[in-house]
Amino acid sequence: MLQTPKRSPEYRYNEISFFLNGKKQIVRLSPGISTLDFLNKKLQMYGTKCSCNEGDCGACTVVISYPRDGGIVYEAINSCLYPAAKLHGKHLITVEGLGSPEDLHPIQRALLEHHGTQCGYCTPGFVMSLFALLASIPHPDTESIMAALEGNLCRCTGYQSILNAAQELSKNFDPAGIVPAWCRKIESQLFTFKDVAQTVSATSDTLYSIEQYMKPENCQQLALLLDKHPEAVIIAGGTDIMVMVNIARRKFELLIDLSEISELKNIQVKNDGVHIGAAVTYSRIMDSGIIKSDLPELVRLCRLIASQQIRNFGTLAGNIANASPIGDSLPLLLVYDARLRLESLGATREIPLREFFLDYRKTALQKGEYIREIIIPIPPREAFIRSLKTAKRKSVDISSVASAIRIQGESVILALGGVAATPVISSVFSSSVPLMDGKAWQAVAQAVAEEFSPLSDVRGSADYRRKMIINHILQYAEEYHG
Amino acid sequence: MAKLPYHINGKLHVSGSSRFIGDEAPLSGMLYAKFFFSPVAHARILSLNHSRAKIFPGVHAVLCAQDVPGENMIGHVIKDEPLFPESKIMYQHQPLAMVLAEDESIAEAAVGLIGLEYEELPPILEITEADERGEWYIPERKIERGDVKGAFKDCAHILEGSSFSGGQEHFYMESQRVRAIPVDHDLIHLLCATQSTMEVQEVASHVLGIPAHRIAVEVPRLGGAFGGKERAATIWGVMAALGAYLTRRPVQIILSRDEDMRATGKRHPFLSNWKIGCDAQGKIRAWDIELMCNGGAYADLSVAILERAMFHADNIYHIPNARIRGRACRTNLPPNTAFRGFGGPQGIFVIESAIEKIARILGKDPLEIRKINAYQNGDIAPYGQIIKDSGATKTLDLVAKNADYQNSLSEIRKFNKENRILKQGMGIMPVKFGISFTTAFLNQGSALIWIYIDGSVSVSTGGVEMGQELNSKVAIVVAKVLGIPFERIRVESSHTQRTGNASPTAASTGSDINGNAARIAAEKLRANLEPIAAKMLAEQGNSPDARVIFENGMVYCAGTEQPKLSFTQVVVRAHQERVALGAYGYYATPDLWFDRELGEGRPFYYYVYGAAIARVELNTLSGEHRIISTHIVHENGKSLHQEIDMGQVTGAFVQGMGWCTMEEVVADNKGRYLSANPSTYKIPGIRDIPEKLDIQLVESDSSEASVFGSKATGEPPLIYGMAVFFALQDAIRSVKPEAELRFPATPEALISALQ
Ligand SMILES: Cc1cc2nc3c(=O)[nH]c(=O)nc-3n(C[C@H](O)[C@H](O)[C@H](O)COP(=O)(O)OP(=O)(O)OC[C@H]3O[C@@H](n4cnc5c(N)ncnc54)[C@H](O)[C@@H]3O)c2cc1C
Ligand code: FES
Ligand code: FES
Repeated sequence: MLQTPKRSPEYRYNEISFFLNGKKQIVRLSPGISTLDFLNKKLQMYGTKCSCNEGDCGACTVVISYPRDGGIVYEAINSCLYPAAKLHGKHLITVEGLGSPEDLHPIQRALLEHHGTQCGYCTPGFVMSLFALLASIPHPDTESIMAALEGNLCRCTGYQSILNAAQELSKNFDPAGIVPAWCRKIESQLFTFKDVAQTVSATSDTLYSIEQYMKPENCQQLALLLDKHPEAVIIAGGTDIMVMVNIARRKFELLIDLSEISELKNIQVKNDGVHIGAAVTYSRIMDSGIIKSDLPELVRLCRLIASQQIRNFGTLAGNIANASPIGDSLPLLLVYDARLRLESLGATREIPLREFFLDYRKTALQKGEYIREIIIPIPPREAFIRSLKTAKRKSVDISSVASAIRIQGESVILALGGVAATPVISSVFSSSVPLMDGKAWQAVAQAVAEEFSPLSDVRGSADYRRKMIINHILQYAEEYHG
Repeated sequence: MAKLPYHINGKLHVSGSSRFIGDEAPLSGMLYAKFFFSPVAHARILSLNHSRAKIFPGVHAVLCAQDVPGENMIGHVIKDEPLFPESKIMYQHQPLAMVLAEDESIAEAAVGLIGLEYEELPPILEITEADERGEWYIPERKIERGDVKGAFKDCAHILEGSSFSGGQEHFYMESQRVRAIPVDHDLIHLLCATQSTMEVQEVASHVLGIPAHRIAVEVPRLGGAFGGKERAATIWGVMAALGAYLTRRPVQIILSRDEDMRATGKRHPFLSNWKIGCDAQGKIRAWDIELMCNGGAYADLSVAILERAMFHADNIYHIPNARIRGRACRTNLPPNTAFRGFGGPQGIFVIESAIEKIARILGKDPLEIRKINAYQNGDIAPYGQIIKDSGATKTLDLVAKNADYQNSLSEIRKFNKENRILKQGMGIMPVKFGISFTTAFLNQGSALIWIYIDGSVSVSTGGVEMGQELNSKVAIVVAKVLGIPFERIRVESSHTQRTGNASPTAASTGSDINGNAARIAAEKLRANLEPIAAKMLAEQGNSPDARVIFENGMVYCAGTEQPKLSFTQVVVRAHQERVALGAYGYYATPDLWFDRELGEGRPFYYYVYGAAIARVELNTLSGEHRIISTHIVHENGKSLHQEIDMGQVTGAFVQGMGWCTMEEVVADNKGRYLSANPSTYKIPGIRDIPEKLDIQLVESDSSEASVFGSKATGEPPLIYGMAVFFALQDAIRSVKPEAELRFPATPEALISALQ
C-alpha cells in the first residue's frame, strides 16, 4: 500500500547572507534548495538556465567569488547542484549581473560578434564559464579554454564560433574590462565577512526533499552532529548527493555540509605523506604546488575528472566515500597506497584505502564516522605511476574502465575500476614481476582480464571492459618501454 | 559591402535577457503538471486508480483518458495515437495520467499515489522482429526506375550488404514545455515550445471538441528543436490545453531532462539490405535496396521520414536502374520522430556504405568511384525528377583540392606504415539534399507586416525561431525590400492569431517559405508607399516620373541624391492619406508534385549540394580518436547571411558527427531507455570538434533557388558528419581490411571492429 505523504510538514530553513551581483542579500532558504532553483523560482531571475539539472550541461553555470588560499577566486559552478546554503559569505555573479542588452560585457559582446549564440539557451552558461576563466587566467591558451568550456554543452553552434570568440578575448585581453569594478569592490568585504548564518523552523505547503541542511563550523561540531543524528548524511561538494536529490528524487532528513570547515581544507606535507583534507576540491588539488611537485599524476588525472564547474566544488574525499566502483580517483589512490583518517566523536583511526571498500557501495565507515583526510605517501621519483580512463567522450564522462599502475623496482601494482563491485587491485599482476618484453606484457594483460568478471551496462559490455583491461596494460607497457 | 547584422536577438541571448517559455513569473493560481508514466512498454491496462491522488491536498485534478471531452486522438496524418491510452500501453514512459497541483512537489507526491494494474505483453523492439510480423503503419512503399533485374545480369561486380544506422536523441537544450492560460471564457492561450503552431492548435481543438479559433498557439522562441518539437511537442501542448480547459486555471508543463529523454521519440534507426551492381570501372548500373525504420509505437511522421530516406537512397549518384523499397515498422518504443535530415542521412548512409565497398573490392580510390557516378545535368533521379544545376562534381573536386586529397592520402599511408598504435584514415561524404516538404501542400507560408507611424516595423510569420536565425533572415529580407535598417525591424513570436495555418518550421524550408511570404508582404507595402513617396518627392521639385529609391531609411529619386525624405515621413503621410500600412504575404512553392502510387514526381523545388572530407587519427589501444581536419564545401545559392549559414553548417556537421561517433541510444530488452540522461548519453562537447575545420560556402546561380537566390542550410550539412565515420572505418581498414565498423563508431565499436 502506498503511503500518503505528510502534509505541511515542518522544515528547518537556512538564513544566510551573501552578495548577488554586487548587492548584499539576506535571504531565507528552504533546506537544501539549489542555487538554480533559488534564482529561478524564488528570485525570478531567469537568465541562468536549467537544462539537465544534473551537472552535465553547464547551462546553469554561475560564478562564485570568495577568499581562497589568501586571494579572491572566481569559480564557475553548476548552480543546479550547488546548494544555495553554500553561498553564505560569498559573491554570486550571474549573467544578468555581468551585462545588459544595452551595456554588454566584453565577453557577451565577443559571443555576439562571433555568432557564438544561436538558440541562446546555452549562452548564459558559456558567458559565465568564460568569465571565470578570464578572471583567473589573463591570456588562456586553447587548452585552458577547452578545459573551461568542456562542461558546457551547446547543441546548436558546433562550438567553433564560441571558441573563436574565446580566442579573440584571450588575444585582446583587457583585465580591467573583464572583472567589473562592482565585483572588485566586494572583494575586500569578502575577506572581512562576519555575518553568521542561522536556521529557523517553519511549516511549508511545498514538500521539500531535504528536511534540514546544517553547516557545522568545525570538526568537533561535525562529530557531535553525526553522533546525535544517526540519520544524517554528509555532503561535501554535493556533486553526487545533489544528483540523487534532483534526479533519483532521493529524500534526506538531514544533510550535514562539511565544505566550510577550515580544518578540512588543508593540503599539507607531513613525514608520512601529503595530507589532503576532506573539504579540498579538485581545483585546489590541481592548483596546489605541493601536489603538482609530489603527486603529478594526481593532477593529471584530476583534469580528466568531470568538468571545470564540478571540479570547483567536488572533492576527492567525496569520490572516495561515494565508493562508486568506477570513481576515477580510486585506482590511482590505491596504487599510491593512500590511507584515510576517519574520525567520529572522540575517536580517530587510520586505515589503508585498500581496506575501505567492502562491497558494492559499501565502505568501512561506521555510523557517526567521517573521512577527515586522505594521506598519500610521496612515491620516490623513480616510481612509474600512471593512470588511464576509458569513456565514450573525451571529457565530462564517467569511465567504463579506469586503472592505475605503479612500477617501482621489483614491485608492480595495478588497480582497476569498473571491473568489479569495488575498485580492486589485481592479484595476478602484482605477482608477475619482473616485467620484460612485449610478449610477457600481453600474457599478463590476458591473465588480468581473466581475473575479473565485469558487468555489461550502458557504458560498455563485459567483453569490452575485459578488452580494455588488456589495452590499458598494453598502453602502460608502451609508455614504460617507449 | 555592408557589415552583416548580428543575431537579431543576440544581445538578449548573451545577457540572459531572452525569455523562453516558463521563464516568466508564475501566474497566480497556476497549476503544475506531473505525469504518471507507464512503467512498461507493452501492456493491457486492467485498472488505473487515482482516487488517492485526487484527494491529496493541493491537487486540483487528475486527468486521464476518460476526461477528454472531444476525441482522444493526437495522431495527425495517421490517426493511431491517443492522448492518453484507454486500454493499451504502447511504450515505456507513455503518459497515462496527468496530475495538476498548486506546486510541483505536490503534483509529484500525488503521482506516487496512483496505482496501475496491467497485464504485460511482450514488447517488440527490433526492426527485424516488427518487419517479420508485418507491423507496418502502411504497406510497403516503392520507387522503381529502369530494369533492375535485367541490369544486374550485365554487371561486372555485384555486391551485397546490410547497413544499420542508429537513433539519436535531439538533446535540444530547452526541454519540452508549455504554459496554457485561459483567457475570457472561450479562449486558451498556449505558449508552447513547438515547431508547428497549426498542428498543436488543430489537435487541441479536436481533443477539446471546440473550434480552432478558441485556441491560440504562440511560440516566442525555442531553445533548440532539431525536429524534436515538430510532432513530439504536440502531446504536451494538448495536455496543457486540456488541463487549462477543464480547470479554468493556467497550467504549466516543463519536462525534466530525464523525463524528456525517456518519453519522447528520437531519430529513426534504419536497417537496410542492399545489392549493388557496377561495371569493371565501378560505374553503378543497378541498385536494389530495402529500407526499414524503427518507427516506435505510433506512426507520427515515420512514413514521411521513410519516404525521404527513399528519396535519398541515391545521394549524388546517377543510377539508371534502381528499385527502392521501404517499410516503416511499428515497435514498442516512444514514437520516433523528425530529426534534422528527416530520413535523408539514413538513406544516404546506405549508398555511401555501398560505394565504400565498391572502392574496396575494386581496389579503387573512393573519391574516383564517387566522381564517375555523380549526377550530371539532365540525369533523372529514380523518382523521376530531372537534375538541373548539379553541383555534385564541382563540390567534390573543390573539397578534394581544399583537403589536398592526394597528398593527404600518401601522408596517411606513410604515417600508418610508421606507427603501430596510431592509425590515420580519411573519409569522404558528398551530399545532395532535396529541399521542400515531400508532402507538397505543406510548402506554403504566410507573413504579416505592420509599419507603425514612427517608421518601426513589426513582422510576424508562421515560422518558429529556434536558433536557426530565421528571424534574422526574415528581417534581412524585409529590410532589403523596404530599404530600412535591420534594427528598425522586430520579428515577433509565431502566433496563430497573426499567422494561422502555418506549416511546421521544418524540412529546411523555414526561410524559403517564410522569407518569401515576408518578401511578398513587404513588396505590397512598398507598392503602397511608392506613390506617396513619388508625390512627396514631386512636391519637393523632383520629376514625378523618376524612379523612387528606398534605401537605408531614406527615400529619394534615382539619380538625384537630394532632396531626401526619411522613410518615416513617407509612412506618416501614407497614414494621413489612408493608405494601408499593414500587409499580408502568402507564398506557395511552385511546381511540386509527387504520386505515391507511381513513386514518381517532382518532390523537390531544388537540391543543395556539398561535400566533406575528414581526416582522423585513431588510437587502436584506447579506442579514442581525434579529428585532425575536416574540409567542407557547401553550395548555398546567394546566401542571405554568410555567417549565419556558416553557423548552421558547423552546428549540423558536429551534430552529424555526434550521431555517428558517440551518440548511442540504448534500450534494455523491456523497451526502457538506459541512455536517458546526459551522463549516459553523450553529445559532442567542445573537445570533440575537429582540430581544423575549414568550411567554404560556394555561391551558385541556381535558377531554382529561393528567396533572393538563397538556398536552405538547416539540414543538409548534418550529413557531412558521416565523413568522420568513414574516416574511422578507413583507419580501421588500414589494420584490418575486411573490418566492419558498427554504428555509431564509439570507442567500443572501434575496438571491437579491430578484434
Ligand atoms: C557532471 C558530473 C560529472 C562527473 N564526472 C566524474 C568523473 O569524471 N569521474 C568521477 O569519478 N566522478 C565524477 N562525478 C562524480 C562526483 O563529482 C565525484 O564523485 C566527486 O568527487 C564527489 O565529491 P563531492 O564532494 O561532490 O561529494 P558529495 O556529493 O558531497 O558526496 C558524495 C558521497 O560521499 C559522502 N561523503 C562526502 N564527503 C565525505 C566525508 N568527508 N566523509 C564521509 N562521507 C563523505 C557523501 O555522504 C556522499 O555519499 C561526476 C559528477 C557529475 C555531476
Ligand atoms: S542544468 Fe545542466 S549542468 Fe546544471
Ligand atoms: S545556442 Fe542553442 S544550445 Fe547553444
